[in-house]
Amino acid sequence: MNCPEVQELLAPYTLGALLDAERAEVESHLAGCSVCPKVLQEHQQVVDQFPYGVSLVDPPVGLRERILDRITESEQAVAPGKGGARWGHGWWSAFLRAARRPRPSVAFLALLVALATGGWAISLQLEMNRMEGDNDQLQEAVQEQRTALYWAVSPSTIVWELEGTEAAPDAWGTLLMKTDRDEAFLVVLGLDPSTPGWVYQAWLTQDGQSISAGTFFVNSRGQGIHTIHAPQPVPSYQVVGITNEPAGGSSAPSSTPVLGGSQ
Amino acid sequence: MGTEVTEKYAGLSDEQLVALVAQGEKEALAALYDRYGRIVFSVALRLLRDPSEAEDVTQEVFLKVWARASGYQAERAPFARWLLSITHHHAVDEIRRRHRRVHTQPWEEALNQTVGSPDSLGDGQIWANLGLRSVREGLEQLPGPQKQAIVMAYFQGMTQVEIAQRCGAPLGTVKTRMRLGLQKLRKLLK
Repeated sequence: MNCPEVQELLAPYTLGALLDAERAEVESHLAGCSVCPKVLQEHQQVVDQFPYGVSLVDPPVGLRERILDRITESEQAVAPGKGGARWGHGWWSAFLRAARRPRPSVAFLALLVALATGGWAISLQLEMNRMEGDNDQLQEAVQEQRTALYWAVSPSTIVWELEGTEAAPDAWGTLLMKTDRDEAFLVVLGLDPSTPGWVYQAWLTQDGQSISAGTFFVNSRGQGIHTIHAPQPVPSYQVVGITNEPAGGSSAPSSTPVLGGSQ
Repeated sequence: MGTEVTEKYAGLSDEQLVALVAQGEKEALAALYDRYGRIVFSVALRLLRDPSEAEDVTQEVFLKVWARASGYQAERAPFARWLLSITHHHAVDEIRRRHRRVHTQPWEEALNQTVGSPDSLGDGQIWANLGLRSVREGLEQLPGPQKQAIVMAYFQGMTQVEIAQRCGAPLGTVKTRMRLGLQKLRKLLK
C-alpha cells in the first residue's frame, strides 16, 4: 500500500474500524514510513481521550483477586518437570520479539514460491519413505500444500510469523489462521531435518495451559508443513511453540522449543 | 494484598510498575489494576453492554499486561494509552468474534451514554483545553454524519464496511467522515 491509500485508512484504523488483515497492512506500511505515522499521531491524540468519555462503573467485587489467582494457577499448571521445558511467565518472554507481524515479508514471499511449486510435499513424503507407491497419500500431501498456498494469499488470513530460538536461530515459521476457524496451517523453514526416532511437535498455549497441536516431519531442506486442528479457534491461543520429541509425540513438551511466537 | 500494595507502589510511575511486572511481581500488576481496573472495566462494559463479558475482557487485558510487560516500550506509548488500546481492541474483537450485534442499539443512544465523568482518570488535556466537560460535548460539535461514523466505530465496535452498509453510504464517504471528524475535533484545540 502507498501513502495515500494508507492515510485514507488511518482514521478507521485509529477508531478500531478495520479488520485484522487490514490493520496488518496498515501497520506494515507504518513500520517503514516516515510520513504516515505523523498523521496517525494526530488522530491518536484525539482518540486517546475517548476512553475517558465513558461513565465509570466499579468492576465486580473480587475481580482483582480472580486475575491474580489466574496468574498463579497458570504458573503452577506449567511448572517445569525434570528436563522439561520451562513454559512459565519468564520463559515465553523470549517469544515476545516474535509478536505477530504483518505480511508480506521477503521470507514470506519465498514461502509462497515454495508452496506454489508443488514439489515440497512430494519430496517431504518420499524422503520419509512413507509414500512410495501410495498415490492417495501423495494426493493428500499435495492438496494440503495447495490449500496452505490458497490461505497464504487470501486477504482474510491472519498471518502469525514465528521465530527460531537459540536452539534453532535460523529457523522461521508462519502460522496461517482465520478468525473463528479451529484449523490452521503451520509452515516452517530452516529447522534441522527430522531424524529417525524423532518428530517435531506443535503446541498451543492459552492462559498458561498448553495442548498438543500434532506432530510433523521436516525434510532435508529444513521445510515442514502441518495442518493444525484445535479445540477452539486458533487465533484465540496466545502462544505457539515447536519442540523436537520422541517418535509418536509427547503428552507435554520435553525439551526447549526450537521455534515459536506469542501474541 | 490490598491497601498495603497501593501504599507500597504509590510513588512509582506506571512505567516503573510495568518494569516490575516484567520481573514477575504480581503485586505490581495488582497496583496497576488498582489504578486502571475501573476504567478498563468501564470501557469494556460500554462496548459490550454486558457485565459478565466486560469482566472477561478486563481479566484478559490484565493477563495480557502480565504476559507482555517485558515487551512494553514506554517511548512508543504511555502506559495508559497502551492499556486502553488493548482494552478497546479486546472488546471489539469480542464483539466480532461472537458476531455480536450490539450496534442494533441506535447510535444516538450510544452517544447519549457517552458522558464525561468528573472523576475520570487521566489528564484529559484535550478536553480541558477545550473547556469541554465531556467527550460527548466534543462529539456534539461535529456534523451529524461525522459524529455517527465515529460513534459507530469506536463506541459500538463496527467495521468501516458495516458502518457504510448501516448508513447507506459509500465506503469512501465513511472513511472521509471519520477523518474529517477527527480533524475537526483536533482543530478545536487551535
